[in-house]
Amino acid sequence: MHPTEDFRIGSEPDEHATAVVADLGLGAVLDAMSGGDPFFLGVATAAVLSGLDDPGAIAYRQDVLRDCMADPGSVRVLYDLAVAALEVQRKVWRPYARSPESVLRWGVESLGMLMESLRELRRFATDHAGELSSAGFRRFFAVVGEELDDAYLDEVTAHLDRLGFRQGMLLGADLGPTNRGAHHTVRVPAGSRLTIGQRLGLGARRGLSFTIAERDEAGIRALGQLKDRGVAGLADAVSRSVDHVVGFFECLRTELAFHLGCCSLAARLDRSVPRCFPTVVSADQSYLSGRTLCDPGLALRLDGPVVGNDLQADGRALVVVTGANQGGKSTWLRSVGIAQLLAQAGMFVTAESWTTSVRRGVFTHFAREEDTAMVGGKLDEELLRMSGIVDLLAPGSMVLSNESFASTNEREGSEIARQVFTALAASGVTVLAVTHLFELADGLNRQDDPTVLFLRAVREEDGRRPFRLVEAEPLPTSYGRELFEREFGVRPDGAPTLGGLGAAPEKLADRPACPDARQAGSARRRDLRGTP
Amino acid sequence: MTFHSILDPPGGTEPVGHAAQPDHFVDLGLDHVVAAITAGREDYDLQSLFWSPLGRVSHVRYRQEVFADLADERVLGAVRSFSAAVVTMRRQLDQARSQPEHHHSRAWFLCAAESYCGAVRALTDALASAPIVSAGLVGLRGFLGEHVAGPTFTALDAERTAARAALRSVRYCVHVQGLRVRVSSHAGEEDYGETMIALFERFAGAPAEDHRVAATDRSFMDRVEAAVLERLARLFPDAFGALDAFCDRWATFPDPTLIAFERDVQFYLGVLDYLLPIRTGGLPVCLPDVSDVATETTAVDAYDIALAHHLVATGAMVVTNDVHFGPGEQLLVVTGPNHGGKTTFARTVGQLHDLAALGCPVPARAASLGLVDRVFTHFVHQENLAEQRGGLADDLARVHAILRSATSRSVVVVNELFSSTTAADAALLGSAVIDRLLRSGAIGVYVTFLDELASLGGPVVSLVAEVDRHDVAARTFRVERRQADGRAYAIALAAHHGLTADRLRQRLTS
Repeated sequence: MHPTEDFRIGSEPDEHATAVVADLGLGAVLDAMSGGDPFFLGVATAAVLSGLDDPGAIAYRQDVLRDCMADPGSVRVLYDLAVAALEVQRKVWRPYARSPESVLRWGVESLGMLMESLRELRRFATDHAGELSSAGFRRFFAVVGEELDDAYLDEVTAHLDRLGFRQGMLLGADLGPTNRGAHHTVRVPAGSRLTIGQRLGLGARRGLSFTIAERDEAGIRALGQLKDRGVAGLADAVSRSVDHVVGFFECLRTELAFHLGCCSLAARLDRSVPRCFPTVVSADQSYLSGRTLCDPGLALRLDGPVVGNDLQADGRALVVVTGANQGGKSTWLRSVGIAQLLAQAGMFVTAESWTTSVRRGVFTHFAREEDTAMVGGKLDEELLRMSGIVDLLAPGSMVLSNESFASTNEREGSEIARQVFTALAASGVTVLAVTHLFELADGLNRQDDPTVLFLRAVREEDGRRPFRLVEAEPLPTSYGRELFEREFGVRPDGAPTLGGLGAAPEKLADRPACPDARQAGSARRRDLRGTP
Repeated sequence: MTFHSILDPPGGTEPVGHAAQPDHFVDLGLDHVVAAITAGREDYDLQSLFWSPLGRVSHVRYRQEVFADLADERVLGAVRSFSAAVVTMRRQLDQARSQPEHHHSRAWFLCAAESYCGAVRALTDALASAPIVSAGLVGLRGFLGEHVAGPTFTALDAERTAARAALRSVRYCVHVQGLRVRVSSHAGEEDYGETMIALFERFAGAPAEDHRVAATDRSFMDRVEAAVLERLARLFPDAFGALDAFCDRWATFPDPTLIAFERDVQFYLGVLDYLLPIRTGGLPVCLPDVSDVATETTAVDAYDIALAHHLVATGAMVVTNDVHFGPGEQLLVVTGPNHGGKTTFARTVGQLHDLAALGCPVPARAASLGLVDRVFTHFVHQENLAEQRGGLADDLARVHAILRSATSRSVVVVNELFSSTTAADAALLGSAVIDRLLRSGAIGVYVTFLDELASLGGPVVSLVAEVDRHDVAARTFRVERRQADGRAYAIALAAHHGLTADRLRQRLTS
């Protein structure tokens, strides 16, 4: 998973991460990766939501994943081996009452079982070293081959035998501050040169003995405590060893679950959906471009081909998307967000080609449908949510906004959005905003800022929507009234006027649509300016 | 230089004035202040110190100087460490007395001597280079310098070091087989736990869970431990002999002057601990300029210390106010809306004088105060309101008692006097009381609803608890010096509801 760091599943996704999953429709992608296995789902979620920020590490993981996708069968065998090793946690119960002696017994038994799994792992490494050739696998096999050689495994087994204390227990100690025995440790009688008698201190050294009476229960208990103090350190060492080996297998299992999950996702996607390993560059350059980017979530939900879009937003700080309702704007926004997350997780993306910079977190601010009922507090809620996101932002973050601040009138919403988006873009955050706030889009357009890109969802002359986005300046109205007419069979008379623009847009919307949308835009703007 | 006590200068211990809490402490909230200061220091019996105001300005300055020195973090840290070590020493001596096993008990005694010697040395070293100027701490430094260089402490320190070194050299082995235990000296056997850790360290990576079972802290040795220890004493007679000799010779080692210092300095530590959250909350604290005869009583940015201590814990803002008695001014009459900060202001004035007379810092940015002989308070007690006539009689009796005792060095704080009678009566009685109060020469604060009392003039100054001009529902808790004008508040409240004359005209004509 990483050239130098272990992969770990962190805590549960927070409120913000949960929003990202919901807003981007990531659930379908994660489900496809999990194949219904909750462990796989947890790994996939953690990996996708906590991507890497080092292009080198991303390339390293991409290479391992290429290996795995070429031979998923072998990876599955290795995964099953790790799962079998971890069975030890179920077979040997960790003592509930943790006296050092019981902990020691548990540790010795667990280690005995884990040694068998380590031997199997070694055999697998010997058999498959040639087939899986990425840097990640080469490194893994090298470690297994060198560190777990037979001599080492035999030595461990021999030590586990000796922990039975058949010849009594020899404890070393010194005096603590109050003359109580301190620093008790189990000692190895010094070397084989000594006779049994010498080892037990019966030889040259002076010693004093006493014996606990067989019926002296308190004395026997006290003796047990003395031995417990003695083995405490050893029990700790053995237990840590168990934890280390278990941790090793857990790490292996987790990492392989991610790669197997990626293989599942690839298998579940329709053949027509393009996929490629993206080029990920460091955060100090601003790249965001490629060909035929699709929304994998949509592809999985439809279980068939989906429309892809090309994008050239290299060097752009703010991308504003306007245009036809149901024209594919939200889907496009999701596809960019998902591609960013997958790219930083070291995965393939659903595009013919894709280049992006490492970004410090992907954040979503989507209008919440469920909030429409609570008119009063909705803008408040939106502002609160945006404020929560801003708390987490850093230069280099990516914010995906879908119809933000549409819960108030256009004048207010545009002004809030303008201030928020331009401030974020100016501080190094990449903002992708889908909006129908014309005052916002038009105002930004008039500024002629080369770091702002305008896209528009295409609407054909006959009203069909090909779900494509083209580079085009914003138009003063969306096509909602038309959809309304189609749905209801009547014109939406009495529909709310467009904020501060007064009656002008109303009038304009009544004009027949121009054949060329771009021309129509400029024509309307001229008209607008001419309105007294 | 001789050192007497950190609380009072040589040659004059202040007599403990009150064996019980003064009557006015509850009204001023000082009961809570003292309880919080002494909490956790019950063993030192400090309360009576706070009930005993100092009678001489020189004694106040003696304590103020110590407080000023303790403002230096290093000095304060050194004193805190010393106190903590002495507390540890006491616990260790308790153990030495209660442990039945001889060698175990004696080791506890050695621990106590170690704590003590370490504490004395550390304090001596810290004070030697510390920027202290107070007579109290400079005197202590002189005492410590002589004491530590003296033959008694030198010998104690050397002998406890030697005794410990001998015990530290003891290394032994215990072999347990069945029920037989053999104790012997150690001969370099290898630690098996280390062998195991070395063997498995190649799997290291994840920080493993700590499996070490917590050592149970049993206060008494079990019989196996005792038996092992008894045999060790025979195997290592030199080490254990040195311990016995040390204990016999130094049975009563702590110096009484230093032990008394450790108790007395709790007064300072308690006050500073109490002030810490208040200071952290951004509120000013100062050592007031205290004089025998106050020509002018002033406090800048003063506040109720008990309220502030409570509020900073909740993160709420604390409003400060200036207190000022100009030349010839004796009584501040405070009027204004309910819950506008009138009573808080009155309490503040009382607290300033009480704390100043203890030599403590006061809740203000800067203050110049007279040393008062007594603070008197008369606050409305809820139970008095139940029975009106009894209430009025009781009010009069209590006020009379105050007027009889008040002197030109007293502070009198009166809150809502005669609230149990009619306004006209209250105004009349109030004027009469104020007249007598002025004649006693005391200074004071008089909280009332009655504007008449605020406009008596002369030595009587009118203060008003302000409301926010824009939002009358919001209190500012600021108390300003200006003419009482009860109607201004009502007009503002009316405006808030659109009910002023102008607004009503507008509303009615539109």
